[in-house]
Amino acid sequence: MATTYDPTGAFRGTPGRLEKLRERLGALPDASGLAAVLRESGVQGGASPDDPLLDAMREALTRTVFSVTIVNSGPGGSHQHHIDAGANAVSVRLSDGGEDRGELAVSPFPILHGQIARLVRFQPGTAPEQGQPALEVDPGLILDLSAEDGETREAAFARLLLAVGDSIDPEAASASWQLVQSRAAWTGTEGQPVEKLSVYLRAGDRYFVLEETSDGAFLLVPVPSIEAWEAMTHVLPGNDEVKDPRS
Amino acid sequence: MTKSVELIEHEFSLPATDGLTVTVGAPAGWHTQLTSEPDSFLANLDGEEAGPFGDNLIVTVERLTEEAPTDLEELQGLFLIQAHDATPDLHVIDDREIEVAGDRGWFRASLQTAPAPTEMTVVSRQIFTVREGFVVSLVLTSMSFRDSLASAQFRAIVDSVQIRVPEEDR
Repeated sequence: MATTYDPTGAFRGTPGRLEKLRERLGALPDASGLAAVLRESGVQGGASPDDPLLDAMREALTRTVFSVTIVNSGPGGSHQHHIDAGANAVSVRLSDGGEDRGELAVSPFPILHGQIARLVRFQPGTAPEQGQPALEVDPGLILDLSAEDGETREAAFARLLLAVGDSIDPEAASASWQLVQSRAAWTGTEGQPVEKLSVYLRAGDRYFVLEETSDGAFLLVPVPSIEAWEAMTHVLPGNDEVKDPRS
Repeated sequence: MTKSVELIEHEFSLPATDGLTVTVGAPAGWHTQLTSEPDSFLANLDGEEAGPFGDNLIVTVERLTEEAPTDLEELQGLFLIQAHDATPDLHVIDDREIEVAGDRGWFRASLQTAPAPTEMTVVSRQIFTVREGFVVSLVLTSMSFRDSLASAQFRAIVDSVQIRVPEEDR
C-alpha cells in the first residue's frame, strides 16, 4: 500500500513505512531535506516540501519535549498511538490502526488531552458501589489483555471475569471492554530520564485503575470514570517538570 | 500524588435569590468578584501564571423557571442537552449523582476543545443541586495541562460548599 498525504497534515499507509518516515523526518536538521524524504519515501497525494505543516512536523520530531504512548486493547484489537510533543507547540501522532491503516498526523499540542480522550473513545461510566473491594490480579493477566493475538485477549478477559465475580455484569463487559496503557517519557529538569505509566480497565461501564502495592501485588481498584481519565492523562508532565530541549 | 490546595472562604447571597446563601472556597491568589446577568460568583487565575487560559470557578444561583423540571434526573438531562447544544466539541468523561452540601446533587466532568485559532483543551468539572426552587451550580474550568492541580482544587472546593436556605435561619 502506498503512503499518501492528506493536506490536513496526515500521512496514511502501513505502520512500518510511516515509522520509517517519522524517523527520517526527525533526523532532518532543517526543511531543506523535506523534498528528498518525501520522494524517497514514495509519498503520493501531492505532499509539498513547502507545506508548513510538514515543517512543523519535522521540527516537533527534532525537538521533542516529551513522548506518550497509548495502547488501547479490547475485543476489536490492540492499537498503539505514539505521540511526540515538540517545543514548537505541535504534536505528531503515529497510530497503528492495523496492517494498512497507519496514520502519521500533526496537531496542536494544547489539545493533547482532548485528542487522547477521543483516541481511546473515553466514555463516562458507572461509579463503584460504596466499599467495593479492589481485586488482586496476576500481572500476566494484564499483559494478556493487551496481547496482539485476539484469542489471547479473549481468554484473558474470560479469566478476569471469573476473578471479579459479581462486581461486573459479564454480558455487558464482554461486549465492550478496554485496557488502556498510557506511558509518558521525557527528560527532567536536571537532565534525568523520567517515565510514568498508568493502566486502566473499563469493563462494560465500570472502571478500574491498576495499582502496585508496596509488597509487589497488583490491584485493580474500582474508580469513577473521572479517576480513570486522570490516571491516563496525569502521566503527562507539567510545564515545570521538563528540560527545555533547546537548552 | 495529592497536591495541597489552599482555599479562601467566600460567603455570598446573590440579589435575586431570596436570601439563599452559598459559602465556597476559592483558590488562594485567584481574583474574585460578584457579577450580574446571570448573578454569579466568579474566581479566576490571572496574570502571568494563567498563560493562555485563566482557570476559573463560577458559582451561579438561578431560580428554576415554571417549565423547568424539578426532578434532578430530568434536570441534569436537560442541562446535558443544553451543554451539547452550546459546545460543539463537548466530550463528557463522568456523569453521575453525588451528594452536594449534604443533599442530592449531580457531578459532570467534560472536555472542550476549542477550534482554531485558540486550539486548546479545557477540562470542566461541575456540580449542581436544587434548593427551594433554585439551582445552585459550581463549575471549575481549567487548562488541561494543569489538570493534576485542578483535580485536587475541585475536590477541596466541593468539600467547602455550604448552602443555607432562609428557612434554616428562622
